[in-house]
Amino acid sequence: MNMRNPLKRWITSFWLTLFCLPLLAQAQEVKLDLSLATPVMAANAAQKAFIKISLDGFELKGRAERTPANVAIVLDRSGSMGGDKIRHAREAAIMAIGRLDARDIVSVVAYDSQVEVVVPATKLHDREPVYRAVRHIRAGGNTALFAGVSKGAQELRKFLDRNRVNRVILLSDGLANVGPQSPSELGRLGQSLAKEGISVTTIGLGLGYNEDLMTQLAGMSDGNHAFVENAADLVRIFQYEFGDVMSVVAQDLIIEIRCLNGVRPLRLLGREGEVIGDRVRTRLNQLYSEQEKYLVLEVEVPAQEAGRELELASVQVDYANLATRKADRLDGRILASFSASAEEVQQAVDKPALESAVEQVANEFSREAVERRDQGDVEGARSLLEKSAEFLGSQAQALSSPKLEAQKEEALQDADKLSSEEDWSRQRKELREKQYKRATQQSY
Amino acid sequence: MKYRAALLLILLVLLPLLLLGWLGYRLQQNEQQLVGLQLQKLIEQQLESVDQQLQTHFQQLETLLQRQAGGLYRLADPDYSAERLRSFVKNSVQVQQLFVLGHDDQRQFPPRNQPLSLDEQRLVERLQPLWQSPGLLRPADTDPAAPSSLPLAETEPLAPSAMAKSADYFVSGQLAQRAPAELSAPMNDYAAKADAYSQAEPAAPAARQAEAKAAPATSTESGWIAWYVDARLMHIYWWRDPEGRTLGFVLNDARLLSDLINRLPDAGQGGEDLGEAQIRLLDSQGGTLYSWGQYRDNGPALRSLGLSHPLGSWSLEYHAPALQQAATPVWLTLVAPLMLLGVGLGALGYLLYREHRREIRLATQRVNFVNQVSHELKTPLTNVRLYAEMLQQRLDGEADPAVGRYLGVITDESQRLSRLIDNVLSFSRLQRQQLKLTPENVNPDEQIARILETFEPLLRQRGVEPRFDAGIGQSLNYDPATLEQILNNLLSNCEKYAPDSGELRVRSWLDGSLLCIEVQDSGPGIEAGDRHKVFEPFYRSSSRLTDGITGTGIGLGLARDLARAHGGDLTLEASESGACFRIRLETRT
Repeated sequence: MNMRNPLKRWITSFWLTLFCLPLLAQAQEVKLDLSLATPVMAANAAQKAFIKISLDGFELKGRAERTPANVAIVLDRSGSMGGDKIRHAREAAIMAIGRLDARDIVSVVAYDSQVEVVVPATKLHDREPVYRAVRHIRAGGNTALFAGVSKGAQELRKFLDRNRVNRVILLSDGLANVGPQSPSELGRLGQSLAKEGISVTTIGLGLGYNEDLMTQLAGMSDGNHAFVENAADLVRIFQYEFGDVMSVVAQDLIIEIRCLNGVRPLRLLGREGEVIGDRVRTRLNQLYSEQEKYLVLEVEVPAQEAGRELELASVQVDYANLATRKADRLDGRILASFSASAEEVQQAVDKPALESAVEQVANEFSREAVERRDQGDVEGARSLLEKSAEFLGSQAQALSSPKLEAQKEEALQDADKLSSEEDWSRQRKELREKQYKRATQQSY
Repeated sequence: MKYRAALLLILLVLLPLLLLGWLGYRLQQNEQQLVGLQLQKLIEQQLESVDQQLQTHFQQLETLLQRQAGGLYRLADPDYSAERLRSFVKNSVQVQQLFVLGHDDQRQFPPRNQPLSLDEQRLVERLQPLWQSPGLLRPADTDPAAPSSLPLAETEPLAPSAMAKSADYFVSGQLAQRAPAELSAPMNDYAAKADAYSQAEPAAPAARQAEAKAAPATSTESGWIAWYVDARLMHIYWWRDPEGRTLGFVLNDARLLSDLINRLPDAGQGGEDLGEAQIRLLDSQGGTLYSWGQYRDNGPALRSLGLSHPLGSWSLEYHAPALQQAATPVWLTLVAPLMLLGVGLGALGYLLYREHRREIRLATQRVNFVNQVSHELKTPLTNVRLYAEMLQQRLDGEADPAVGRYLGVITDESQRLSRLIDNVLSFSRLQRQQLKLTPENVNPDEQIARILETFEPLLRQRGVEPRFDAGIGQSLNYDPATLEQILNNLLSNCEKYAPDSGELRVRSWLDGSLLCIEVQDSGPGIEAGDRHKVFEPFYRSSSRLTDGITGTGIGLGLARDLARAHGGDLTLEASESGACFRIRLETRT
């Protein structure tokens, strides 16, 4: 008896923890929500369907619980940044650093024709030297953006840790003119950095920067992107950005969707993904607290008999939970039923899911419109946006969604802006920013 | 004459200046060349060390990729699973894409009969020509150091400078061998981290250990391919597994550049290392990829160096202020002392010149003084002579013979004195080129006889017996005063230097238009060494005062000058005994 007692106690406690685990995890777990825009589909016809995969970040218990950050601020100090711009940038950086504490690691890199590591990666025990170094940044020279990001990432690598939020915050107001300068090259760099768990947030200041390059870099590494026309707004943007950085709850989300039963994936709306046969893979670098991020996958469903229920796809999400510091896995399936009655189909519509799908489809239209405008086809771009507005309008009515209605109005405005020759540089930057934010559900 | 002294002085100042300047310049040039060479060498070393750093990156990358390839091979069962390869690519930071060729060079991955992702399709399209060129991944020469350039189209192994047709750039080869000690920690650590995160490879660590043990034995074939395709430089590392299959790792070009940049110093560090210089990393088009160092000007590079394979199309450039500019202060250090020296020498020269001028002025003053005095003496002397002669006539025959003798002495001495004064005046006139000849129609024989007659008492007194052979016998047009002065000088010399010598022969004849007179004494003659000097002014063949011979030393020189001024000459002829002078005077005016 004596011998068995402790053993029994061990076993009980073991069972207890095992029971409690899901309960604990419930609070500290990313929520995976799978929905089909049209859960009931028309029978006997091949058709397209939108699958919405939504991920919700759980709530952080408090400031003390947050994940420590490892941030590299990369500032453009080329000649064009002279005057107010650099002053505001310095202020914004200092204010933002002020929000961090001794758990966090910060580094500051400034680039013109060359790159200078102004503050090497350091724990924020003593802020004054960091502030002093930042205040000494002066403007002048060219724009070695690529090298700047490289050195910033290198500073992050000194303390690279998957249990930290690793982020490069890039501020630029000009075209990269030293080193690689094409959006695709910066995109590939972003891709590689994302694999290490580093994301790059790009903040474009003024009207001189290359928005394609900045959105590519941010998009490939799943960072944020913002267009700041007035340098005075930098402080606000930096605050938002750092707010995001400090509310990350999950990282390295690898989402794998496997289409079943002859369903064929067509495209992933808004995000980059890899489609191999019936499988789609994509990744999110991070998920923020109490924030929804979603993907919309357009699939083609083969014709089915009425009354049949079909499993369209299975979804698996692997991620690093920063609250528990463990790797977690979520999965789910998507089912669709088929009916011959149009009314039944109509009634079953999942409004939020369809809304998201419509939003993303319209966003794709908007992107395409910008591309056409770039090729000089102003009329084509305009008509595309008008078509998009019409589509949004009809769906807004059907779903009685004010959000879509607003997006429709926006599309109409954009169509007007598109045709104006002057100010196109600003419009394009605004459009790109808007598209980016919509596609990635950016919080600010 | 007037400017000669000044000219000489200027030369004296300029010559050493020029010489020193030239020498200094040469020295400086040599030194500059030497410094330039040393600098070039230093720059080259610096660039080479950068190249080495970049090479080290590739070495470490190679080690990492080799290990990862080994890991993949160990997991192959027996074929490589597409799933595993894809997950490798997904997690690999450096590798963008991967391909596997079978031992028959047929593509195994990306899989042939399965759907591919967009990226994979693009890769296949792009690399098709590479896979089709036979033997590319099986180089025949196993020389590890030399990168072999295999022509895909008609490409040659291009020097980095000749990269105009960069679209054709294609080089395949291996890294230069380096001591394994250099291939140390950082990348390996990182690799370990990367592996730890890749959940898809649970067996990787074990595999790596096995590979690490086997590594020295399995030095399987591998190599690097650098290929310029679609306006971007593609790097492929290929590795042959023991079963003859080839794994090709297509690197993420942006990441590769980023990593290379991170191996190079940043602006702060670079500024400290290089000082006033800049090193640039250039791509094949000559665009700057990265630069560091404080020097910012855009000029031609002092030196450029092509990088080693697989970055063969890239180059490094070293920029710094040009050497000449750097040498300017040195040039100043040469010029400044030279200028100082010049000023010093010039001042010295000027002082000397001024001194010289003053002396000349003094001398002129003295000559003028003597002239003046002579003139002043001449008038009273003439009076003395005149009255002495008048007195002699009055007393002729009446008085005491002693009185006559006294008067003779007065007359003689005053004559001598007047000759002396004439000499001095003529001398100074000759010096000032103010001598004027006044030719008259005179019979020279008569004049000579008269002069000899005047000298006769004096000569007799000194034991010399004059004898005159007149040989002209006609009147000629010449300046009798000049002839008289010349003869006076010769005769008084004879009286002074050849006492008690017996016969003094004077001969005259006409040689064409030249009036010639020869005066030959029987005295001691003139030593051979003195023959040329006797005509120099102020020279006396015996300067010893104790000789008791008086004289000014200008007599012979003056006589010759007078003869020359008269279109003739006075020469010292060779003779067996005594001195023989010959006077020649031009009589044709």
